[in-house]
Amino acid sequence: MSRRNNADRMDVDEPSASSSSSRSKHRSSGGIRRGRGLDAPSSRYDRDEDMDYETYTQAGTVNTGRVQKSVEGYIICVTNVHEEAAEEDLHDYLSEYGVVRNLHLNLDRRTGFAKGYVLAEYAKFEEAFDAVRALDGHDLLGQVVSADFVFAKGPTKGTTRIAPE
Amino acid sequence: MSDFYVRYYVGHTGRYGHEFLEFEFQSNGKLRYRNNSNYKNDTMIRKEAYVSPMILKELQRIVAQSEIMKEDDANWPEPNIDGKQELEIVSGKDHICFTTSKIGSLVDIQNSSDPEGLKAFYYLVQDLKCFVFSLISLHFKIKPI
Repeated sequence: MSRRNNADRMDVDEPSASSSSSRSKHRSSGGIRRGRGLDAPSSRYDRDEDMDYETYTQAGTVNTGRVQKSVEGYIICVTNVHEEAAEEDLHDYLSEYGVVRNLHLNLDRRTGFAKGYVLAEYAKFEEAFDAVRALDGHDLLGQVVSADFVFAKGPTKGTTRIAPE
Repeated sequence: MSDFYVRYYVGHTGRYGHEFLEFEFQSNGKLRYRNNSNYKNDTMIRKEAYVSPMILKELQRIVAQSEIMKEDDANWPEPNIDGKQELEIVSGKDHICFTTSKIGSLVDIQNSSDPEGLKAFYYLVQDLKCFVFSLISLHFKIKPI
C-alpha cells in the first residue's frame, strides 16, 4: 500500500493505529466512502483510550437531573437564531431570566452573519432553566428557536432533550 | 441521533515536538478535546465532556450546510512538513476522512487545483473550531489556544 507507506514517512504521523480501534465502529457500507485518510488512518484517539481526560463533574447545590454544571455556572444553547441577530439584542432577551455571565454569538466565517446558535452562561440553574423553558419552541426575532442545556452528566444517545420536564 | 461522528486534527512536528489540536464528537454526545505543545514545557491539555443532543443536531446542520460530504480530497495539497489537517465525518452511511496540508489563507486556496472543495473545507473547519472553542472555554473556563 503505497499510500500507507507515504503517510508513515511523514513526520506528522505517528505509527499506524491498531485495527481494533474505535474508528472501526464507524465503518459503513452502501454510503459514500471518500478521502485519503480512510486508507491511512491516523486517529490519535484510538491510541489513548486509557489516558486521563480532564472532566468537570462537580454538582451544584440543586438537583439538575441530567444537566451537568460547568465550572462557573450553567450553559444553555439556543438554535435557529436569526442570522441578523445582534449580540446586544440577544443579551437583552436572555437577561430577562437572570444575569447572563457570558454570551457567545459565533459568526459564519463565510458570510459574516450569525451562524445560527447562541451559547449563554447563567450562574444559577434556575435562571438557565427558566430561559430554556421560556425560549424552547418559541419565537425569537421572528424565528421559532430551540433551547436546551449544553452539558450532560453522561451519554445522551436516545434522548432529545436534557432539560428536566 | 443516528450514527454521527466528527473528528478534526491539525498538527505538525517541529522545534517544540508534535504540536497539534484535535477534537471529536461521538454520537453518544461525548466531546473530546486535545491540545498539545511542548513549547516552554507545556503539558497536553485534554478535556472531555458530554453534550446534549441539541449540540449534535446543530453540528449536523453545520456539516450539512457546508456540503463537505460532496467534496473529495483527491486533488487537495498533500500533508507536508509544515503540517497536516484531517477531517473525519461519519453521517449515517456516509464516511469521509479528508487530509490536506495546513491552509494559510484564501490565497493558498485560489492557487490550488480544487478551490471550491478546499473552500468548503476551510470554512467548515473554522466554523467547527469556533463552536468547539466556545463549548470548551465556557465549560472549563480556559482559553483553548
